[in-house]
Amino acid sequence: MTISVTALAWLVGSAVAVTALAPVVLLLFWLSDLVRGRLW
Amino acid sequence: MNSLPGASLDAVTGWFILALFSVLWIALGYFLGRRAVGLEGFMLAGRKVGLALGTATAMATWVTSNTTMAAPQLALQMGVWGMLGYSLGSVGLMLFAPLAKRIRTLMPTGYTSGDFVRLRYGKLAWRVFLAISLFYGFGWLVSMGMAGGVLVNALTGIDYRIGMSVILAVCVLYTMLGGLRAVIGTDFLQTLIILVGVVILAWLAISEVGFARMHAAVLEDRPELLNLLMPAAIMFLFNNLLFGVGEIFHSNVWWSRAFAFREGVGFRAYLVAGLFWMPIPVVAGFVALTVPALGINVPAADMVGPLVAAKLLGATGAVLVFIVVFAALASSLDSLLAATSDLILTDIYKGHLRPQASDAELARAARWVVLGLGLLAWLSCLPRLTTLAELLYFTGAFVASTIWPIAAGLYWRSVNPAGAALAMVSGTLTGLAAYFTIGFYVAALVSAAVSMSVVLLTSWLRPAEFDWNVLAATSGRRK
Repeated sequence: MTISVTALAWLVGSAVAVTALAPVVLLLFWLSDLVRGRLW
Repeated sequence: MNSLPGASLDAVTGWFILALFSVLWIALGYFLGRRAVGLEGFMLAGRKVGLALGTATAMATWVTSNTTMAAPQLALQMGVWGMLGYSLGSVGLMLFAPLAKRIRTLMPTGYTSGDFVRLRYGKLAWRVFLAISLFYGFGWLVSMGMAGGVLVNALTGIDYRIGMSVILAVCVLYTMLGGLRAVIGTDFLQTLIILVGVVILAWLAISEVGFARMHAAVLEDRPELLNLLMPAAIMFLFNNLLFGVGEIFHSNVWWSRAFAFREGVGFRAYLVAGLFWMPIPVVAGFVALTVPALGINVPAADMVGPLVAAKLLGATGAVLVFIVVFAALASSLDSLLAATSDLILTDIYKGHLRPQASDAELARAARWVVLGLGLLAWLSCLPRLTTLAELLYFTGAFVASTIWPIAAGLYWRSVNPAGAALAMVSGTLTGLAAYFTIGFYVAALVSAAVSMSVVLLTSWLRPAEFDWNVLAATSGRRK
């Protein structure tokens, strides 16, 4: 059973999208913690 | 492994990057460590780490050079299941989320995973656990140190011993200067670098090669890599899942963070870190599937990532990979140095050698323990003993044996202490037997299964009645 081109594209594409989103979310968390004085 | 033609930078550029990031990590470690006051400040960053830093440090520590370099290697060897199997390492982070909350609740003033095992199961299980945990922690530390030397050598041509020594020295220095505060603070920046780096590389691979061309070339040259029913790869998938769970459940790297995070942060930090970590091995690994389409000759499977980067981006690709790898190495090495030295300090030095040691004495000794551990790791790294993946999966037999004693011990009163010790010993031995007689991909699987059976059987035959309040006794021991 071989993975199709479409399935491979979905798998990799969604993984790249989530990974690209991660730094944005981390920076938002950082900003939120900073504003509330809860970084450390 | 020597410098790879086509994937390496010239030594001058290599030294420049190495120096630039070394200065950055040390300066940041020093700056952040100024507020690390006393034993709690040094070992646990004051126990008030917030969600942003907590999530990033869990992600960065779990993204090792193994993730960035071995994920493409596994994709090249096991195809789609290789990278998916690697990504199941994130399950350990997510399953640890409720445990982190439970640990913080049961042991609000705890210091190490050893504290838990000693109070929960007594001295026999504690010593078995320490042997496993220190062996694993030190093994991982040495494998990271060796990986540093090997990768610096392959990517820049700088001598293995020099590259390894510089990377270890930098991590030891900033961990000594700032303790866990320095480790967690640098982890945040390192996480951002790693994430941006792997996304750039993946984006280039997709836009330059494209999925249709990539798929067709793999189908022609290596069709087994696209096969969803490759038996060894499916075994690897489950083995890697259990390996990750065992590593995270037992290791003081993760327990020290559970103690260090602000109340209410542990659960969310580990869960979010797991969710965002999950796709990273796929993003870093799938570039290996472009090898047939790009016509790259791969002399060493664990260097496929840099080879593809250099092919797609030239010297810029090599620079990018080097920066990402350095960040991944530093983020794991510093965590291992801090967490393993915490275990040595509290469970060996105070627990066995100087029970009367005060917090002030321990705070002073902590920096010397980091230095001593760094020197021991450096000596062990001088000879290049084994490949990264071999060492990694050999230890799977050890760590998977701790899953049940730890998880059951946190929730079930009835777990038998002697059974927990027996579970760790028998799980490790049978896991090792499976490693040598069957293959690396079943060591953790067998170890976890045997350990589970022993915990369940002994707790059924001779159930204990543990008093959870005993765990809070760690506070009495410290003050």
